[in-house]
Amino acid sequence: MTEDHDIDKQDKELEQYLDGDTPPSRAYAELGEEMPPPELDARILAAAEREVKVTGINAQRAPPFKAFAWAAIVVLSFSLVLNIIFDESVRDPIAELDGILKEERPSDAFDVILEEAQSPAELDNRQVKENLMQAQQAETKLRRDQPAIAADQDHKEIVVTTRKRESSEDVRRMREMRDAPQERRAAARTAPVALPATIRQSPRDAFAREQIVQVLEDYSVRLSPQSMSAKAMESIDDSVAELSADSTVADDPETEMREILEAFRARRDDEAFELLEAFRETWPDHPVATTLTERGL
Amino acid sequence: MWFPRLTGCLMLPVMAGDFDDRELMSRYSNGDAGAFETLYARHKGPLYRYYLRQGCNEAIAAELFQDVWMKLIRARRNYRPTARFTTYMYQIAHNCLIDHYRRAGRSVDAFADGAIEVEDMPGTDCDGPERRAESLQQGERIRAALAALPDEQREAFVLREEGGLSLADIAAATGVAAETAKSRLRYAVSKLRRMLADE
Repeated sequence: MTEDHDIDKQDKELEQYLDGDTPPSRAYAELGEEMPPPELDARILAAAEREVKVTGINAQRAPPFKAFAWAAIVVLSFSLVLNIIFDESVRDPIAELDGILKEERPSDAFDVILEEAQSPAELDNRQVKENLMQAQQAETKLRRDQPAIAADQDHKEIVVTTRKRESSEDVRRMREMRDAPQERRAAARTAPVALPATIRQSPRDAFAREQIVQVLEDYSVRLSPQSMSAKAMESIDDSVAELSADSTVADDPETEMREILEAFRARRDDEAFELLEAFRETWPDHPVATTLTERGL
Repeated sequence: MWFPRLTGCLMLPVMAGDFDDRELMSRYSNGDAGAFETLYARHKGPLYRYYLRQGCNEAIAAELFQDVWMKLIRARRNYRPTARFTTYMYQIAHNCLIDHYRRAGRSVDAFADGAIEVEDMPGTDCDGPERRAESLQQGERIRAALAALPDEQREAFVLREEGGLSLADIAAATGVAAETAKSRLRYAVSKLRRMLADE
């Protein structure tokens, strides 16, 4: 009973104490306010400042640097991811194949035609479009760089024109293939494809033709009446008379050569080449034949 | 929490005295030595007297006092403002005092939770010191009365008087339950009232 009474009394005293201004608090306040000695203050403050100087500078500047570092990491990571994504698209097999095809696209009309001749049925609209685009780009570039490449202009124009013509030829051929009956399509796929006539117009054949014509003309000039003596002319006239008298006698090389030359001059190149081939087979030792062989024509 | 960190980072020209203790400690954690000076100026007196009122002489009080501040300085990088700084500081001070008692060979059992014995209650063992305090002046009498208190009761009272700690903060700083802290403070106040009233 006494203990309970004491506890209640102590609780009341505690409440009064916690509310403030009680005899113990007032008495405690009279003890004074001792302070640590100044040298102790200086020692502790110096230690605190030293600690900041040793590690605090970095800590103080760390947050901004950290922010910049994180920003740089984010930017680099983002660009890296984008780079990887675009690389993946480039590494796509189909895209890669397209790239290879673009890179290995023939640079002149002759090779384009050969490619077409090898697989005409395999061409699709996309390739046709690409040919057209490539031709347009080349033409644009030619126009832009015209002053710088004036010397080479003719050749490039030929190539561009040829490609345009070939592209339109591709479209026409594709339309025919699309519209043709099934059998014709199959036949077109399997039948051997003859080289187009344009092959004769390629720079290489044009050059060969000119060489051949030159050889023939040189030989003809040497046989011309102005360059022959009167005696020789007489013998030729005799020969001509003999030939006209006997029609069964085979043509002589000079006559056949003149026919070839006339065919070339008349732009009947197909006929001229056939005649020339027959001529060279018939008279392989003829000066014209040997000259052509020597020149690799 | 971002404001003190931001101001600490950018070192904005804000008066350190405008911040509370946790903000000052956070600024010091971010390298603001001036914030530590303010914090030190606020708490150096109460902490020093905390040791003096525990019966320590000036040399020991200064040694323990320095230990506490050195530990605060070293712990600045790991400081997390989750509790009152005063509670945090007196927790360190209490541990330093217990270590000192152990080094000095004094028993620290009384600081354990719930270790309040019947003989510690007012009117039993404390009669001798109370009587010695009767002839002293008010200051000396309260000093003697404090010395007559058991260590844990005296510590609870000093923490309340010097640090302004609440019962919960006293419990946290001394590592005991809130009821234990309340009992200690209750007994301390009751004894002191009786000793001062017997004047």
